[in-house]
Amino acid sequence: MIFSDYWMLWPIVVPLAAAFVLQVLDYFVPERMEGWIRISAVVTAAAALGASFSGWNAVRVLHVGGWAAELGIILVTDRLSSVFLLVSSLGGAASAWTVFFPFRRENRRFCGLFFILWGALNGILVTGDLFNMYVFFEILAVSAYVLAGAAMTREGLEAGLKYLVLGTVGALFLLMGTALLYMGSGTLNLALLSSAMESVPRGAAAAAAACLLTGLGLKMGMFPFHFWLPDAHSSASTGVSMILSGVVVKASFYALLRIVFLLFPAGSGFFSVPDILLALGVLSLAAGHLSAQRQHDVKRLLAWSTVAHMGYLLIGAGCASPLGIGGALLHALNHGAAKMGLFLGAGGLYSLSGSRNWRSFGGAASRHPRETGAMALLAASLAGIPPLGGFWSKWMILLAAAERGAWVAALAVAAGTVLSCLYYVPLFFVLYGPSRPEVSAKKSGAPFPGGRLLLALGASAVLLALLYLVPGLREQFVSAGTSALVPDAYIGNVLGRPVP
Amino acid sequence: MDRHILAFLAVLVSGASVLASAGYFSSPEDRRFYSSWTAVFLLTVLGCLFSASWLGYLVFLELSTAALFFLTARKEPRTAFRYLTAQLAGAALLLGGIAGAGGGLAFGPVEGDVRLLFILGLGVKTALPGLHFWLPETHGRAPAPVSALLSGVAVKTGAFGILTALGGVPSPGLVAAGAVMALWGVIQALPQHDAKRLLAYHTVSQLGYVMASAGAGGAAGAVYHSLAHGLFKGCLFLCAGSLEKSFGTRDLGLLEGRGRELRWTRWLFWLSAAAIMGLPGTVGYGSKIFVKEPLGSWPLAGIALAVANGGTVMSFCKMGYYAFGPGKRSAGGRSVSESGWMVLGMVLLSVPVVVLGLFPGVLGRLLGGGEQELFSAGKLAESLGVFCAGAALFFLFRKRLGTLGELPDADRLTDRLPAFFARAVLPFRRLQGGYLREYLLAAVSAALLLAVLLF
Amino acid sequence: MITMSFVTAALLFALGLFTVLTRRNAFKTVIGLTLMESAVLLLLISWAYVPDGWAPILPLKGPGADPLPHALTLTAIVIGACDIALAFAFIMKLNRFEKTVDVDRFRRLRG
Repeated sequence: MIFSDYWMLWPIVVPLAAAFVLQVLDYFVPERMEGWIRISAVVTAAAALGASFSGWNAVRVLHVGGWAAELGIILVTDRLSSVFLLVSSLGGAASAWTVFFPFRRENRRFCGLFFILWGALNGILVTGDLFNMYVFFEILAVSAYVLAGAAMTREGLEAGLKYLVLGTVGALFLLMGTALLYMGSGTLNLALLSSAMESVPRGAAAAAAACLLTGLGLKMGMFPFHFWLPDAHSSASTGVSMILSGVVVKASFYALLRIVFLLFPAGSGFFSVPDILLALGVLSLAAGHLSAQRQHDVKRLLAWSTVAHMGYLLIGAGCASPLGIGGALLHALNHGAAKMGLFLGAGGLYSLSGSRNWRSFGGAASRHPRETGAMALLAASLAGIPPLGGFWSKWMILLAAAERGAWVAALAVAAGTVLSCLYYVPLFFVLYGPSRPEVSAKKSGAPFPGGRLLLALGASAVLLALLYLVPGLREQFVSAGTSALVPDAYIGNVLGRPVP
Repeated sequence: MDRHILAFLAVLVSGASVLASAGYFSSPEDRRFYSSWTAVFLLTVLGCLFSASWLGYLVFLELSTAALFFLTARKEPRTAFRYLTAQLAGAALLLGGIAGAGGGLAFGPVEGDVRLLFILGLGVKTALPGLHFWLPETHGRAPAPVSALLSGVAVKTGAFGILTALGGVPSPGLVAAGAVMALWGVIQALPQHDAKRLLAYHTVSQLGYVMASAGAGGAAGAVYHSLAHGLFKGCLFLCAGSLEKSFGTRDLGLLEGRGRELRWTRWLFWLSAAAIMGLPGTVGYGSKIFVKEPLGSWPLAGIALAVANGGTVMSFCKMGYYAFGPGKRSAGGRSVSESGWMVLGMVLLSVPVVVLGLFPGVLGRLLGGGEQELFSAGKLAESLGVFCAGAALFFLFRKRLGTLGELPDADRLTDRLPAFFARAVLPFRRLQGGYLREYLLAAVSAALLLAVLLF
Repeated sequence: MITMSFVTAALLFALGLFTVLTRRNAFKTVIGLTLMESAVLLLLISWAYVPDGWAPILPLKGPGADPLPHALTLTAIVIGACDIALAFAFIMKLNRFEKTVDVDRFRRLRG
């Protein structure tokens, strides 16, 4: 069926087209935007889901414009991209709903930017060309900078500026890495580069690896490139925080996985790139969990927690085994769902109590028991309490680290549970504790904004556990890890030599 | 068979706890909360005991910790938080051990270096020396029905894990640890005037008996004493709870003997006290014999346990004297009622104490312990002799005991941890100083470093 | 590959880096970023050099320079321009609030 080869194009084209159409429509018929935004979000999510399913069992390649891999840009989906397309689809839909519906209607004016962000995100996930990835990263980044700083408060603008400067430096390093690799091998196509890496001189390869790691680290929030993340993710509005923390950083992680395992699987130097990932992962974990203690602002606490969970993903990737990478993928799903739910809850609590200081959220549980319960489940899942989803993905990563003999990383992953509890439990003690009299008088009876979505995400904390516990599903993730680690199928399909 | 005995214990203690909570808590919401979470706790403990793999055991262990956390947090949030942190640290060690041993390990003996991680991780649950810092506070401050669960069941699941990990191989370290625990628990219990904290230290001490027996290779003794301790300690905690409910205090100095007006509580207290002292006719007599049996090759440990036994007698004489003994009458002769539900809970636990006490061999045979003459003259003399010595010592030193102070314990160190941790966190907060140029410098220098490392 | 361009690019990059790290005026930070970017693009373009080559436009009368870096550079310049414009917008808006463009004074978010 000819359309099956085009599945991976729609997740990019639909949101980009929708962005422009919606902006124009917003100018002419602002009162009717809700329906159009809803349709666009649903179609985009469906497109991403379709691309995800199409790539799950077979590597699909699309040669854009009919040009061969050496000359043109190709789009590829394999099982690894499919996992992230799934995250993009569901996460993007949840964020879209949050940005445009329960909260301020003025967010409507950002409809164009939101869909551009989503489209660029999908672009990163399906492209097979290094420079094309850079371009999509930049499109994503520009929309993210604006959306993060859109609050127009002092903090928001400051956060946006820092995100912009550090993000631009990241783009710079990405460009330099791309340039170095091009100069060394003469091609920009990831699959061809993978085969041509031997011809790149050692110094250039090391420099390119460092540049690409730095660039992607700056996009992803890896230590020591994470400094913008707590500011940007906490200053953004709720829906934007959701997509930034839940999906955008995962896309950067996907790019990291692709680039590292296609181009730099084992180094010739003293350290190999996976070792570096392990070390940086442990540092991110420590920085994230430790900095989250004693935060007054609940969204900043959650943003630091994102830094820590990126650390888990890096440790999983750094183990360079199917189990480790599979665990990281499962954790990307778990963290995406949980962090989006927690940001949604935090946003709701903020709008109900008027303050971002979590010490003022007292009594929330008595007014909104189900939503607070959902948040508690999600926080427990992130902390790694069995039998919720987060425990199982952490277990996979821990096992992979132990198998590899990386004791420090294993210890860090195990200790992460205790450290997370140290900052989540006081938060929930306040939520389940007594309420302040003036708050309860004012706000009782107000519904929790975004409550239904929060409950759905809370249920996901339990359902995602099934992805590990059902043996067949667990194997899917491990094999996605294998497809990342051993990219023969990817390369073969791109070059027209299909590998079974 | 061990699992079934411990499961039986869990069911009994949970049932008694639910009965007691009907009397201990005044509001119906409280009662519903405690009954339902106790039921959850029981299910998780059963999952623990009957799991097929170490990972399954750990999952249910963490769930039981969560259940106890919720049970404690309703009334004592700070204590619950510290309990949770300590237990999660132990669980993290255990998780690391399981990962190190391959992940799919079946629930059975563990070999090699990784066994240390298992022992340490489970040791937090079982209050091994140094890792016991959380126990006096948690078991002492939690509501009485919850303390019964904690001391009666929760620590036993940890002990069961250690037994399984050892797999019958003797471990001298554990024997020594057990002896130390037994003595330390009693030494700390003697000066206590908070009744529940006193009982909590006795839990440490009695767990020492269990650990010493386990370390010597005698699983039968360990399980027997686990069951016995669960029964009589559960009942003792409920007695303390009954005192608290009726008089509003559990401080022995303030009670001044008023407890004797609670007739049922008084009699059942003395029954359980007799059990913990190891007097014949109670389950404690048989359990002490089975515990001591494999310690033949460790005479020092045997002596330590005997000394601890004497100290236990002293301590319970003291508790009984000040709570239920001669003293003031209640003001105005107003009679105080004891909670019927709590008494029912105590009775539920006391009946097996007596039944198993009269037929100690039955349980012994079930557990595979050696056949021996349980009511021989020698053993009876030993038991009664220790009792007399302890009682005599108590009456001689009664006045002195009142003025003793508690020795500093491990929780002095762990109490300093939050402050230490807050200071350790500071450098990270300084890193995020808000200076954009610093962030850029960090990013660029890291890039340079990476280039050098990867060359 | 022209050595002179390589050296110039390295110098430009160092200059840009120095500006970004030592200058407190936010506008100068942005200019420093532009310098660094120009350095990378110079490097890239100079890679397209073919001795005695013609511009890569058909019909060719001899060896043609590599057209790919040209395309990459054009794209990157556009992206750079976009980033710069956005940066200036942020700085101006911040200036309205904080009455300063000193980067070290933008420290509301810390810890």
